[in-house]
Amino acid sequence: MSLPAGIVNAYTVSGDVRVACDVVVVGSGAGGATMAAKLAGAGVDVVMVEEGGYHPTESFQSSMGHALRTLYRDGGAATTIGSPPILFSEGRCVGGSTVVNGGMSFRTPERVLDQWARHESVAAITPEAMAPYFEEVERRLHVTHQDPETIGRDAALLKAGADAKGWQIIPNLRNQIHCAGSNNCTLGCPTGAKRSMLLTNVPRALASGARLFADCRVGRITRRGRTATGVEGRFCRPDDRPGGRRDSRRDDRPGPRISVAAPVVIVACGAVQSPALLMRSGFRSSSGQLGRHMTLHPNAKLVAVFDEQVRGWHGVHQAYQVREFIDDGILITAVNLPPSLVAMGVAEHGRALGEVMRDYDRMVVAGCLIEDSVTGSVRNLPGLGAQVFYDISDADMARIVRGISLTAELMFAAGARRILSPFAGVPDLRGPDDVSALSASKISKRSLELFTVHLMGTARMSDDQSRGVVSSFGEFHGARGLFVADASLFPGPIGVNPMETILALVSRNADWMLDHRSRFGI
Amino acid sequence: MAIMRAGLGSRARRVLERLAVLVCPPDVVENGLTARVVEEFELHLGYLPAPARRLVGPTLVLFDEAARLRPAARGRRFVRLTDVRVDAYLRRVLYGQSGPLSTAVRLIKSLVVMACYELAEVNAELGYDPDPYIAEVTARRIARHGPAIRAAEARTSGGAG
Repeated sequence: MSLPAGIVNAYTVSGDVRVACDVVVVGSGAGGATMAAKLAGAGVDVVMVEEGGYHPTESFQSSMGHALRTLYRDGGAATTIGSPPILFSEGRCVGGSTVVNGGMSFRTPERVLDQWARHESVAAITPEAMAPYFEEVERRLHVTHQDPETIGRDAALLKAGADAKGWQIIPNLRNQIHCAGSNNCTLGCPTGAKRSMLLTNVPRALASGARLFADCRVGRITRRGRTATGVEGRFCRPDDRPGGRRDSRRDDRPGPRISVAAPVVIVACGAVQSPALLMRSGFRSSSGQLGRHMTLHPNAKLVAVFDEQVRGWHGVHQAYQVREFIDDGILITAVNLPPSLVAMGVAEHGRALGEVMRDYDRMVVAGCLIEDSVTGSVRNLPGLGAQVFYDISDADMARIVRGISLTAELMFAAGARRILSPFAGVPDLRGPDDVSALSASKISKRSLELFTVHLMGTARMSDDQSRGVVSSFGEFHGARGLFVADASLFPGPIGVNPMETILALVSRNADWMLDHRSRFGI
Repeated sequence: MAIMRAGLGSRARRVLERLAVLVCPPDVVENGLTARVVEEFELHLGYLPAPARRLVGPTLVLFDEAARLRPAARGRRFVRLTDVRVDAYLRRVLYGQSGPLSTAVRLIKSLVVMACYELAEVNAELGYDPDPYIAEVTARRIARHGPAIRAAEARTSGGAG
């Protein structure tokens, strides 16, 4: 596989690397790539360091297992520690989670921006101040509605159910150019229609002279006192070559070292890894909030079985969102999952599992996302690395049960024959009466099977140093030359898909940094 | 090229093979795909977080030995139980108990199931064959929107500023 000019990875590096630049960006996802593209475009000498590998569009396959092994951190199988454990996935590849997300691009709700401006001491964050940045992101990423012929039957049933209930449902805005509807978003878009960072801001940064080191894990940020001076790390070999098998006894073998000297360090590894890197590099927030205030939009799903053939894998990954309950912090959608992920959630095994799965082509996977009201934290544990601690609250638990009950109501309104046990130990639902019983029943936290891909808020911005970790523009309080540029910045949950918010915030922060570039020596 | 496995010991692998026979639908076993399920499991195992990876082998061995504690097992390990007894034991651990061993076995069971439904042969039985579909819609996309796609790509990729 040939690499684009400007990228070095574990297979092309020939020995230890020592480089100097104006700005080093750790991470190449929504935040890192956007920051790199804007700074490099303004003539700043930028180096990006990305832990994951470079995987071009033509390498993407329809195998979930292959995607989990090549594009996701920890095989996509990380979980929070708490009650209940919540499965979470983070992209780990050039382009980060934008390579494996559903491509939903929504502006931050105005009520959220107002909240951040009024109560979190964040400057220049009003809807009016942010509007140019949203417009820039939407133009750059070609955010638009889906072509009608690519909307599948599962999405059509979601809409039919919402319409039957009289609930508000909106077509998704997505960063895509005439998406084919291949339903492969979370495994890497095989057509290149999804405008991930891999195809937009990373190439933009490279075209402006930025360099990118992939397969390269940053161990620590170097510093002189409270001034960041660069990063140090090592190349690692994720053995994903054809025929290659990773050996668990060998995967910690150190590769060549990398050392990047820079007067500005930008941490953009996501809301789990960013605080972990800052903490293990010895940076402390005077507010004590670094690594705290994590919110994660817990998701719960159900599987509805219809009499008709649905073929949920024909058509775009997600086409609509039910916004009827958005003010209550509940968002409902349908998301097709491949058989392997559906089967993992089936409580049965053996013959009974086979019988359930025989209905795969008649299934609609739908679920709800909750705007959480409590927060968790990230801590580095000896031998385990960064771990997320999170306990769901009783109030959020009740919202999840309500969200799933509403989703089940909608599915029955769309004609579902039955709904597979949405919570462990709860029998299948056969009709609306069963939904009423579910709503009234007591569900234990242990019965919940939750997951998330929206991790936010562990280095939150606020100009009030007693509340925030970074300033309104991402500069780490009490340190020099150190910035955060990812979803860690969020002072709270936003209730919608976070990608566009990350891009717009980081774009704004990059402009601020360029306006003050002499202060940072760049 | 030598194939390196995820490091499960031979005993843990025997337990895993027996577990796969029980957990997968019968036609997977009848079609001789159990070894492929185990291979896919071990492949994926190598990419899990290190603590999880290290715990799978000991968990399988503990699960195997813990069967002896059930009176009905008459001192036999999981891999030596009769078909009726082995299913009863598995059900007890998966659905009837709580605690670290049950939690860990449930996770291993989920991973076995995932490995099973990653096999193309198993998916074909469900009518799930995404590659021809992807090829079809990819061609349709280019046929309908080719010039517009090329123009939009030029606007959104590469280039400074």
